[in-house]
Amino acid sequence: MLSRLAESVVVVFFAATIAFILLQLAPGDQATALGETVSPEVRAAYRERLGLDQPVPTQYLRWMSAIAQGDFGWSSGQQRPVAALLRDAIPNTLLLMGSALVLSLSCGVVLGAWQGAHANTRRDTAISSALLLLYSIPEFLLALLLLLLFAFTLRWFPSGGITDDLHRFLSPPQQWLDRVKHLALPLLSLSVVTIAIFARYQRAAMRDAMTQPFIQTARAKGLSEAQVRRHARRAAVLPVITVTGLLFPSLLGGAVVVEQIFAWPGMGWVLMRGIGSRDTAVVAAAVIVGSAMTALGALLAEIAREVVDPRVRHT
Amino acid sequence: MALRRSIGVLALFAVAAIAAPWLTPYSPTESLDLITAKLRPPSWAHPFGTDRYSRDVLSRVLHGARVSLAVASLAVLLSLLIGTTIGAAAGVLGGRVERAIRGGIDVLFSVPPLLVLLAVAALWEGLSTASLVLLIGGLSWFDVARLVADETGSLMTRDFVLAAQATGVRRLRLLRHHLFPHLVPLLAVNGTLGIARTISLEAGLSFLGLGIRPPAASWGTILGDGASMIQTAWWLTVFPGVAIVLAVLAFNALGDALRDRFAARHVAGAADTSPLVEPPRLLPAPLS
Repeated sequence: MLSRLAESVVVVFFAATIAFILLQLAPGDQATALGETVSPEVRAAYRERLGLDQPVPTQYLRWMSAIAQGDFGWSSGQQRPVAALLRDAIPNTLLLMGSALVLSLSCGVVLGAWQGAHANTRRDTAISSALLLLYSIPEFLLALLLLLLFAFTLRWFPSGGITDDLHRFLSPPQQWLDRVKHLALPLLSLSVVTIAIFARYQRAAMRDAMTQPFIQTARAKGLSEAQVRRHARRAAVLPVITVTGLLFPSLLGGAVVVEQIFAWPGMGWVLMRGIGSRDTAVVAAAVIVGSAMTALGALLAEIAREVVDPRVRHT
Repeated sequence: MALRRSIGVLALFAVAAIAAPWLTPYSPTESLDLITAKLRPPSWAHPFGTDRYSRDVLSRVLHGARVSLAVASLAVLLSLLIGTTIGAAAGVLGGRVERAIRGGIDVLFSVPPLLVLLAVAALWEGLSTASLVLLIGGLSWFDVARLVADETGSLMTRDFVLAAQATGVRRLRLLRHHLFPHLVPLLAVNGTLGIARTISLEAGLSFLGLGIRPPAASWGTILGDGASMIQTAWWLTVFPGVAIVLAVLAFNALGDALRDRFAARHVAGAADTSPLVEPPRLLPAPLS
């Protein structure tokens, strides 16, 4: 467990180093991003203030120690500290990703468990084909199609943002509804692929579990089919937890595009705005925070696995 | 059945991609008539409509197939090459080398490839298609390496490898002639699913305006162009979108079918040679 924690720290360290190397290798720096109209003296002064005139090893040490203290630099596009930008954006991304994870886990597991218990029936094959189709739709495309259908054609849901302009003037229950309505389409865009992934794994795990000796024992004991399936379900939950831990990078990648399409003010949206305004500090911070989130997700999955499966403990 | 159907669809795509210049009456990059032929809905002359620069969308989608499929295939080929080399090195050498490689892969796994791609594309402002291929390939070999390491590790305990080692076969030859043939199913399945994944990845990147650069167009670029006009010009989103989904679906279905076929053969083949060894793991993570 401790080694796992150490690994997460290594990941963040590594990501910070990658971000530093990228910034060093990239043509131009924050001073050149000021534009051609700025005089060379101003640019030199700006460089000096940011420490960009220092030798590379010094810059690297400063960079790492700043990040260790939670200082991600200054956003030239927003004229705010990047850390403040992140503090605003991360909760929104976590809300989106967290609810996507809950929705897709519950739907995917239920669907997959049913399929696994009824493997190779006609309905199972039909669901599998449907899931393969859904799995093959990239998040951004699904987001566009949902936008076209539900926001522009049917007008059931708003087309973007996290709350309505009039949100502050609504009554509390209406505010809730407003939030849910804004969350619905981004959530669905992000979840459909993951539902399909979870269902595929759960189906395979459940099908394998149903052939295990302990299931025969359960049947031989005279348990009802529903009880037997409950036995199998417990054993089949493990692969799904493992997949959850591996899923974070792709979930994060999906969140970036989905946030961009629905103007959801999370990390991805901040990142894309940062890219648009050549805001290198924001871009670097996004790589670091994204990696930290992925490492944290893997860590949580590992903990969950130890809780569920006694065999994994003490190894 | 699924195997044959998906190969059929992919063959169609391949023909469309290769023959794009002869199949399309219009140029994918030139404006036809900015005044009269702009943003036309689908018609006989332009079955997929025209975009805001009055370019024929069908021509763009067909030419886009070239870019999308070529980028995805080449990037996956590269990732298979890197992944197999590193994974096989870990599996064959074992010991400290293997631990180091596996630890490194674990760390690399946690850095989301899309974020790094976005960062690189943003910092360098406009990558060439070739460097995009190199980047995607260089960022997507981790799971291949891990699977190959697992597989070669388990193959190293098999009798035929011991026999080869006992007769003095050197490591490189062992790898090429004795181990590699056993890796082919895994690589074929993983590569096919990888192409599906990479098509979506590249499309997403180009959609955000950070992948393929105009005037060249992949399906993602066309979608990115049309996204702002989705309310009025649905054909700019729907037709390239259908192309992406069909291609990704066909590759995913082919990968699944190949896996089922190989898995069946492996289980049957493993029984008579060495019943104690587990059949090799053929279930690569279907992650994007």
